[in-house]
Amino acid sequence: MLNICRSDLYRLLRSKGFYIMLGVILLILILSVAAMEPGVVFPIGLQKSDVSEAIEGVPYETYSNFSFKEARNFLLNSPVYYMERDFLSQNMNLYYMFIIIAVVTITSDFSNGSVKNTLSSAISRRKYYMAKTGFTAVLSMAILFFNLVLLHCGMKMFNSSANTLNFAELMKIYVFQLPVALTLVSLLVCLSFTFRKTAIINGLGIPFIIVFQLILIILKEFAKLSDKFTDYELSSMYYFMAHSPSSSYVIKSFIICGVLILAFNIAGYTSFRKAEIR
Amino acid sequence: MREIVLQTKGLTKKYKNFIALNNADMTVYRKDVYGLIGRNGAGKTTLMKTVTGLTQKTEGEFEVFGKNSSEYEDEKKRVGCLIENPAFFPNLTAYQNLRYYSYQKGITDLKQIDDALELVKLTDVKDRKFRKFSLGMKQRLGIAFAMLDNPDLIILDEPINGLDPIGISELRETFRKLNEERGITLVISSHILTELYAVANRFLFIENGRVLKEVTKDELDLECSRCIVVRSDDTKRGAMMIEDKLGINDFKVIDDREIRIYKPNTDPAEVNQALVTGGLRVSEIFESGVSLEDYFKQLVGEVS
Repeated sequence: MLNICRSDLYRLLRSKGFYIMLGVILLILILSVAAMEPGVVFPIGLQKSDVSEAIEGVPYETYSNFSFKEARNFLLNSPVYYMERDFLSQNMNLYYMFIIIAVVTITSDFSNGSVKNTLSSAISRRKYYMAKTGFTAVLSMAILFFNLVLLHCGMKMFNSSANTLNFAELMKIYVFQLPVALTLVSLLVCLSFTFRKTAIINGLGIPFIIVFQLILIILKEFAKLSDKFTDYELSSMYYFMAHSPSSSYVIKSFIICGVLILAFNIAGYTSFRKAEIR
Repeated sequence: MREIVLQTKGLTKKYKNFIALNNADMTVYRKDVYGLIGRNGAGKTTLMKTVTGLTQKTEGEFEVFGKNSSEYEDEKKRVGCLIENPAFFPNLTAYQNLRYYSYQKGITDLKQIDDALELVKLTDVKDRKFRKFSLGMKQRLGIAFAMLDNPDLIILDEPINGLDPIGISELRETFRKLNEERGITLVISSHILTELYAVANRFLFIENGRVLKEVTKDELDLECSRCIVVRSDDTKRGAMMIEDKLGINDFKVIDDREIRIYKPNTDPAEVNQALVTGGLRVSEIFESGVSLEDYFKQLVGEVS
């Protein structure tokens, strides 16, 4: 299995897509740190300034006319506001990077047919599945960590130390968010091994979260479920895990993620185990 | 007794409403160059994909180096394959593609990559990206991949496809070297009979998923050579009469209904007269001698 991972690393380091992905992560981080706004998809005209979150109790009129520079200075001098938490709570963005990783490491093997070369040699499908899943997971964990380290360095360098978290807090958020990231990776691995076509993985993977969230909202409304139901949706978990969650929330989230990881991997391997390799 | 390298017994592969491989039996011995002959869609690739684990068999069994399908995973280290079209990573060079697979196969001696590229004459273009390769070059890289791990058995699906006449000739020489100098067993499929005939010593004819015949090269030569075919319901007596009355020894009793006389310049009328006057009931007598293509057409015709 290690040999497969080694070969994938060799190929990955020669893949343009991988470097473009790293570049995009870096660009988003630079822009986010400069703008002091996490990079998320939102209706930009309606976006409320984070200033309001930073200074509770201060009348709106005092900061409503702040220029960009003034807002930056104001936030930099608000030591109670941990901007880093807000940034890390938006790590769901990395899901789109995980799609690139899954496509580069798994789906491309099927798309160009090179998987035949591997599976006709002394590598069983079980070993292949495990190696690919492991490699994708480790790579995604590394991306999550890379994102966290770059963010922290950027914040320290450009946005003053007062707004940053200490190492222990950062690692806590990382560990708490890890199961959520691995759930998303398992979902993508499952899709990759089930459909084995890049276009299908992109077609299903990219809108998946939106569709998933819509289904949960509909379920919640029709079944009259409590608000807590959606607290355990994947992007919500990412968010809450960055905001000092209660231990019961962490445990429940870990259990949910564990079950989903298992389910996705069983489904992925089952469909791949006897699949015709073309 | 020759060592059996690959054997299938009643191997069957069914898709929903289609039988791609029907009860196929084949035996490949060590140092064979085994030719799989069949038209496009005959079942050659399915047979190869089944024994290499790229598709699951529906029924039957196969053994590779004496290990059956459920326990031959380790023996696959001794097998090199090129199934269907050669598929590699387009953004990597020929060398990088083989380096990628050498990592996978745990090959540490990188000289093996250079040797494989040298063998298929791709050394000069080893740093060219795969996507810029011609079909013939891709085919040769596929063969280099199959030979990368110094296997004992190489399975090649239509390796001649896309090669120019010089490339075919060079490849034929490569196969000969691998077989004679390194003792490697080769299983090669093709629909180009003459090319396969030039390299193989045993043949399997396949059509519509069914094995038509498994023959050695000598048997094939015999079946294709010019002869007089005598059909009678008493071939034993017929054989004695041919030997005693006509003094011909160069003949073969094919089955209980057919005798073939290979002696050159034998007159069929004379044979017929001798047999009939001897009291043998001859139902058919005719001259035969077919090209490989005609032989294959006949085989296919007998089945369909």
